[in-house]
Amino acid sequence: MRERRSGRVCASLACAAALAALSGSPALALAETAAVLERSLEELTRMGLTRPPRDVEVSTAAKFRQSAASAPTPVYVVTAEDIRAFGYRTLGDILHGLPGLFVTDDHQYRYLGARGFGLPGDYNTRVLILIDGERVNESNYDSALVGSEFPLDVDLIERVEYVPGPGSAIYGNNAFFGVVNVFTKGGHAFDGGELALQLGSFNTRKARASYGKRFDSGLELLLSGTRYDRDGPRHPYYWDWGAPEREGGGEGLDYDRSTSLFGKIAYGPLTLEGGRFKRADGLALVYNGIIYDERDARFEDRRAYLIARYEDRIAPDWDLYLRLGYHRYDSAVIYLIPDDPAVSGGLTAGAGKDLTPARWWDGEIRLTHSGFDRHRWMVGAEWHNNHRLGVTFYQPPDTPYFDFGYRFHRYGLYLQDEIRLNDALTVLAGARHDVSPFGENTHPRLGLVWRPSEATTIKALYGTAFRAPSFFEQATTAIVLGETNDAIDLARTGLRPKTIETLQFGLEHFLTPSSRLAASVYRYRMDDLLSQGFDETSGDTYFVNLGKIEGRGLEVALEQRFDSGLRGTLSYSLQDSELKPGQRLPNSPRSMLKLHLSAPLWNPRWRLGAEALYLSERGTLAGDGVDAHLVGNVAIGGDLAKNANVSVGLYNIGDTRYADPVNPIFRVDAIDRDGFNVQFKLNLGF
Amino acid sequence: MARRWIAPARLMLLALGLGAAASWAETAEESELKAAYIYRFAQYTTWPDPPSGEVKFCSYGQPAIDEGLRKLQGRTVQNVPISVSRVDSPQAAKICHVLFLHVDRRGELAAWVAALALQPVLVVSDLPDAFREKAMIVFAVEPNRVTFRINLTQARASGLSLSGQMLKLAQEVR
Repeated sequence: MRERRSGRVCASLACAAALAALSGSPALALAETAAVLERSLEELTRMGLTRPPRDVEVSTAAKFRQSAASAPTPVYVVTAEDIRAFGYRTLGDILHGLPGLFVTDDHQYRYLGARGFGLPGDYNTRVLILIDGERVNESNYDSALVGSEFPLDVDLIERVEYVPGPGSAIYGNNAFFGVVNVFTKGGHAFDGGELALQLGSFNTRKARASYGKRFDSGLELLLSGTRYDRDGPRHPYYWDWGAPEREGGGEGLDYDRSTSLFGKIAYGPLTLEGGRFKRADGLALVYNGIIYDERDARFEDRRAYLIARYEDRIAPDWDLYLRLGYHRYDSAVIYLIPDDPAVSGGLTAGAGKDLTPARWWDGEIRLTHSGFDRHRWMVGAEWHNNHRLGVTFYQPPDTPYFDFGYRFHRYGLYLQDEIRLNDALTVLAGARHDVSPFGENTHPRLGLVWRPSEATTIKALYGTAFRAPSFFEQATTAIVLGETNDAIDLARTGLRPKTIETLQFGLEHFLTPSSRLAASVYRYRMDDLLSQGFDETSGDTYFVNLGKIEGRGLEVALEQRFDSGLRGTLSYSLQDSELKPGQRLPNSPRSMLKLHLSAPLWNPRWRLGAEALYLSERGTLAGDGVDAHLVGNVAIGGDLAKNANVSVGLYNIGDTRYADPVNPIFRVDAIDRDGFNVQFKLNLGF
Repeated sequence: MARRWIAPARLMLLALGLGAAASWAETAEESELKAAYIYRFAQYTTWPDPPSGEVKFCSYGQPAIDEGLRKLQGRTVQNVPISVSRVDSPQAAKICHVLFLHVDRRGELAAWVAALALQPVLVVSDLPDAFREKAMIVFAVEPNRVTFRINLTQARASGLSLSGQMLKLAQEVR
């Protein structure tokens, strides 16, 4: 029998009643609005804007700070304020709320889909994710996942910028559908110590201690550590399809535990930033056809990085940016083969593990010249030294049956010019040449921004982008092709970098000073799709070039602000991506509708955030599908005292039952998502 | 199938009602907010020759903020009354205590900042380019906030001293 999926605390109707009681509260008294000029500097920094601003500052679209209106693509910005208002718990929650993006969850990892493309089993290699400009996509799988496995605590995020569209002309590999840049908070945002405690459904506990300060000398420091524990449902409901009912089985098997540390020191133009992250996630699924019901079976991810950055004006009109980073990434799947021939398929009982380590250096140098009124030139180079990449498979008892190590360099050189033809018209032209042992390629981008009036901006962008086959994809494909351990030639896998050609148009228009409309249409063509296959007999995965993909889509977002402080955004995305005419890709919702509302409650220190997220039906790999779904989340938060902040998040308030299409490796098409669940959070400042 | 949407839909409507019922909000117009910031910046600045008679607030460029600045007329900074005026050249701006600069052309912007580089004029701007050009304080607009960055080295070189409170609240201090 199916277990109840929800970490049920109150029935949704009871919750609704509680909310209704709140709304009728006499505490909804109007306080006197003090004139802006009477506000202290500190109060001004917390003041909202009555109307959507026209010139939000962004820096990811073209690698320099500019007004979002002058960027050649729409840029979506989510700030720490939004993260609090909507009770976002992961980067995935943040991105799932944006037009054109959607997140799929298989209870191991969370995968990002973009522009109608989210192949089950794909480790997100088609959106480049950055933390403060540094690539998060690691060097083994080229992947950056967005759930609790993302190495940064969301509480440390100051803002997230999402730039949809081809970005390889400045970012190179993986900037295929878009680029997400996550900016971390500085020490001044804490100005002292902070403790945060979270409790939630499925026995989830999270504790964070942070200290941040900007000293009078200008030195800025931030140190933060987070411990996260989620025991998971007592009986994982997504077991139905695979596992027989067993005595007390499944209890806490799908756990998720992580520890993360983050530190940042900035002084003048120099910043040093580093992090460590370790996560273990219980393997409560049928994987490779085998049911693992031991607590020791798990996915492990470890990550450590240290980055030094220098950014300053070095001569009149010349700006220099330098970045140097070192990264370690280790991923492991640890599984236990049971002593039961019916289940083990003849393999020796014991622990097996798949290890995929990566070690790399990377660096970037960039020079910008802005001496001419009409031109802003940029020349940059990026380099990666992947000095240790490996794929090692152990079978019990501790025998490596496959062990392959590799090292390689890759470089990229890019040029960009922003040309102001006149006050209303700007052209952004750029191209990047990338070199790796697996090939060379050049990707251009040409953007046009026309601002015919203060209220209207029209944008056009044409560009190509690429994603190279990752080391992991090449190595595992080599195995399936029967290459022997000591004589692997990755070139023989036949996997090639995939190119996408995109044309997009955008419009931003203020219908009234308080309502902003942003719309974009795009069309893309992928020369060849690289996707995961699954060898039924051996249980191995491999990667193949599937063929051409064509896609097109539309994204519309309307933002409205009211004098009461209520802000709302409604976005609609329509997307079609087809392998052949009429054949939609799996896990590709044709339409998505997202509504976000945030409003002050009985006083401005208390806010309510609500989101409603609709995804239309999606196909699964086996050709069945999952139903359309609508999920609503509500968060209420406010200040108890000056340094004490509380919030409650209610997720999937309607207890909607819905599922996501998943990786073929699970031998099941779709896995249910969490039902109604809650989270309480307390923040204390010192 | 439609039934499962009823509960979430009902709650969303309720949330909407809740929000609409609340009418207390801490929001301001962008230009109003920038003017208020400039007023506070002046209060937290010490000039090498403290203003006497009047504190001159000047602006060049964007008319939108002028309206906000005009509301400062009659107020005081360190007990000295504020006067607000528009200037049309860097030369004329040298007598200002505070200058708000909104120049879209980089060359012109650089010329203004360079001409005032060693003058005790608190130069404030709201263009991303102005921070690179070393204007002392530059606003950064976020979707629902206005924050600011400080070029402290530049302010110090001009003999201006900015209070710790300002440095603490800035988005970035260089």
